[in-house]
Amino acid sequence: MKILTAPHMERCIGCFLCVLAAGNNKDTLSLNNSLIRVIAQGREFVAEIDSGIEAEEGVVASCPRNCLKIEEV
Amino acid sequence: MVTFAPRVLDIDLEKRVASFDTYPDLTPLLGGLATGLELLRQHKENCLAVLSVGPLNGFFPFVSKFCALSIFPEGPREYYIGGRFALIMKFANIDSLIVRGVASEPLTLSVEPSGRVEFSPDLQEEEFLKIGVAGRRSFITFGNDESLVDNYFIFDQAIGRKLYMGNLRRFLISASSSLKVGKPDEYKDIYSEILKKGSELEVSYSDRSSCGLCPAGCSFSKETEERLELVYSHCLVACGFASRIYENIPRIFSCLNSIGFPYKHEDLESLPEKIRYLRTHF
Repeated sequence: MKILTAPHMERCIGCFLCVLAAGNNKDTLSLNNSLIRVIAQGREFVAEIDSGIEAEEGVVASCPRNCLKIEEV
Repeated sequence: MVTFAPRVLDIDLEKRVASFDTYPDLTPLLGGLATGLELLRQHKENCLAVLSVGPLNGFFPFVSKFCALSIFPEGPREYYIGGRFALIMKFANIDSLIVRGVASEPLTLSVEPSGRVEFSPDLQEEEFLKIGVAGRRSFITFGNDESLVDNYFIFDQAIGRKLYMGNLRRFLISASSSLKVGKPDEYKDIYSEILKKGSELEVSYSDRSSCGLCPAGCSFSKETEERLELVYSHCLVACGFASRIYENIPRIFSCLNSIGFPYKHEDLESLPEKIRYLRTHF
């Protein structure tokens, strides 16, 4: 199974493009149904990822700072 | 056919009541600046501020700001503010906020995921950070000297002070809704095309905290914008630094069409004149 990981969150600028990409389901955009949550902690950001959901390459590509990666488990 | 009527949350600080209304007659105004000016004109009696997003917030890159408006002795003033507030407002299904009245004591306001508006006595920072849904919320804090969005992005202090004097100290919104895309294939193509237009920005990519749906993280991201010459960017509400991308009627039309908002070319073309009128008729 391919899961999303966020090995480089120190680069994150909090643009939420990944959240939107992972919440894009055909004709519906949703932040609530996204498999990734980006949470601001002071000036930094942390990611909470639902690893029970298969991730798509498009979510990794959506990040302008290359924070994300897909890993096979 | 989908119609787009702005959904407006009207908040009365004095009476501690809030209600949602839709304004179908404001649809041709597109959103942001034009909708905000008209709402301000209609509700000027005890209105402290109107905050508005536009039809492309939440859908497209670089459409990352909200418009804040208020009336001052010399007339209405408008500012464009970043952070994630515009994105979350859109995903809370709120197009505009009207804030009016003066509360009897300092308040924290929270729009919960259910859409319910909670009025609480002003919370301490620690308690405040526990409300809303982490990663799906955005907030503005109002102070006498400084007002901030998401504790970083500057909210214009002329309007921020007005809201502070109205005894509003903190205002939080949690995302609750989904956005429907009318033509998903077209939308996907246009989205990708716009995302590649970063070189058309008037700023360089950097590593600062960025506004919602802006990949630039530019060194101006935290600043409030106040450029009166833009029309479409201010109605959409896109970042002013992306004006080369969004001051373009055919592109705006394509964007609106792809998400299912059936605007007419005439509505878009008449917008500059409507804004000129609205700015001068208070």
